[in-house]
Amino acid sequence: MVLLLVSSSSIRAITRRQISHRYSPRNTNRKTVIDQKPLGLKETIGDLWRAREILSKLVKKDIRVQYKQTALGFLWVLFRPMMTVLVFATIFRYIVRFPAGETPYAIFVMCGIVPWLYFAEALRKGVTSIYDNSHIITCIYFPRIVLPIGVITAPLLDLMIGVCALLIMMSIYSIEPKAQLLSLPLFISLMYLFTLGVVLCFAPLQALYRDINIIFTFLLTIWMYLTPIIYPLDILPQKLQTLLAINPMTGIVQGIRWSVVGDNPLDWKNLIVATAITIITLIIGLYAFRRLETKFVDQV
Amino acid sequence: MQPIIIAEGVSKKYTVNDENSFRTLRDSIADIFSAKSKRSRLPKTFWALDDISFTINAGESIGILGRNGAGKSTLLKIISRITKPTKGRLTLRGRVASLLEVGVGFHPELTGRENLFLNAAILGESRKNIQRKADEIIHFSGVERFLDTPIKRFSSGMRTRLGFAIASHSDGEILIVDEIIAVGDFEFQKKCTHKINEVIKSGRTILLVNHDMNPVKKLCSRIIHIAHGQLVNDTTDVNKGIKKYLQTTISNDEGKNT
Repeated sequence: MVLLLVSSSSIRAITRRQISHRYSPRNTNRKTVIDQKPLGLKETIGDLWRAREILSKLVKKDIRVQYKQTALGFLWVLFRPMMTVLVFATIFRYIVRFPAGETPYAIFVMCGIVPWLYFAEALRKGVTSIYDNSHIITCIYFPRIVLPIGVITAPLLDLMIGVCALLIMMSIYSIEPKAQLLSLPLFISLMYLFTLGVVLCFAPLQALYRDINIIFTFLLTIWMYLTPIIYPLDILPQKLQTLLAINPMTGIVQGIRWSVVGDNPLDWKNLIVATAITIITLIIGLYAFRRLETKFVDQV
Repeated sequence: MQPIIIAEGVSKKYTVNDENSFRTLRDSIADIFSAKSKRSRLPKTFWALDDISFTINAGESIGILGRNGAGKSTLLKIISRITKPTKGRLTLRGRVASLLEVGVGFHPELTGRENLFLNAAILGESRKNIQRKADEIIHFSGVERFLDTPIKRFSSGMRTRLGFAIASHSDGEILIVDEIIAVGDFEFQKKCTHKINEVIKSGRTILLVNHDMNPVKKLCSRIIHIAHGQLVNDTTDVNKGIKKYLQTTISNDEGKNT
C-alpha cells in the first residue's frame, strides 16, 4: 500500500515536471512580502505602474456607464453647465449686478462654473469611491489607489466638453481667445492634483465613517460661494480677499479665467498659494491613504 | 523545488463588534435607556488566525480544510493580499490569481464583453494577455450569444460562468479557489474541475477550499487543516488528512449534541 502510494506520487511528480516545460513562470522572481506594515512609497508607485491597465479600464467604464439609459445621453454633458450658467447669468445679471469688467457676465460666470462643476463632481464621487467599491476591495487585491484616481479622471472628459462649449459661447459673443489659452492645461492639471489630494485624504475616511460624504455635500455648496465664480474677487474688501486666497480653488479659477478671457492680469500670488497648498494636500493625502489602507479593507 | 509561499507565524486579529468602535450620538442616547448594550461597549478581539506557519513549493495543490469560521477565508485573504496580517509575515514568489468570488467588479450596465475586459484587468491580466485569451474564455463560458447584452440581463448562472471563465484563465503562478467549483449546473461543474486539473498539471500552485471532499480528493496533493485559527494538520497523505478532518467534525458535532 505504502509502495503504491509512493510510486503513484512519484509518477505524478514526473508527469508534472514534464508538462511544466510548457508553462514558463514569469513572475517567480518577483518577491512579495506581506506583513503588517503599510506599503512604502516606492512600492505604491510600482504597484500603480503595474495597475495602469486597471486604471484605464476603470476610467473607460465610468465614462461609458455615466449616461447609459438616459434619453438625452451624451447631451447632458453640454446641458448641465449651460443650465447652471443660465440660472446664474439671469439671477446675477439682473438682480445683483456684479461688475465683471469688459467681459460679458455669462462668459465670466462660465469660466468659473465649468471648472467648478468638474471639481464638485470629482470630489463627490471621489470621496465615496472606496466605499462604493467595497465589494471589490474585499474580494480581490489591486492597488486601491486606482479607485479614487480613476473616479476623478473620468469627469475630465466632461470638463473638456465644457471648455469647448465655453469657446463656442465666446465666439457667439465674438471674443477671441488669446495666446495664453495654451496655459489652460496647466491650470486644469493643478485643479486635478488638488482634487486628488483632497480625495486621497477623505476617501479612506468615508470608508470608515459615512459622515464624510454628508459633510461634503453641504461643504461644497459653501465652498462654491467662497470661490470667485459668480463674482470677481476684487469687489471684496482686501481682508476677505486674502482669506479667500487660502482656498486653492480661488487661484485656480482666477488662472483659468485669465487663460480663457484674459482681460485682467494674472494673480501670481494666489496661484503660488494654490500650488503650495496642492502639494501639501497631495503629500498628506498619499500618506493618509497608505496608512488607512490596511484599516479600511477590514472595516469598510 | 523552490518554495513559492512561506508563511511565518501569520496571525490575524479582528475586533468583533467593530460597529461599536465608532459610536454615533444616536447610539449613545439609545444606550442610556437600555442596560443590555452596555456589555457590548467593550470591543472584543478575536484571533481569526493564530500563528500559522507553512511552506508551499511551486506546483503543489493544497486542499485547505476547516469548518466555517476556522480561518480558511482569512488565510486566503492574506495570501491574496486583500487584508494584512496582524503579526507574522508571508513571502510570495509570483502573482496570485484569486477566485474568492467570481465576477467581482462586474458592472450591470456594461455588456458581457466589456465586463470581460474590465474584470480581467482587475484580476491583473495585461491587455495583450486578455486579447489573446478572450476567445478561449468566451468559448469556455458558453455565453457567446449574449456577449453584447448588458450583464444585468444575464441570469445569475450565466454571470458566474463568465466570471469563472475569466478567473480560471488567469496566468498567475498561484491560484486560489474558494468554494466556487460548486457554481453552475452539473455540466459546468465538471468543466470547472477539469479546468482546475489542467491548471495543476501545468505546474502552477493551487490553494483549494471546498466543503465537498470529492474534488479535494481528486485534485489535491496535500492537506492543510485549520481549526480555530490554528494549524491542526499538514500532510501529503490526502486520504488520511481528509479522514482526520471528517472525524474531528463529527466528534465535535456529537459533543455539542450531548
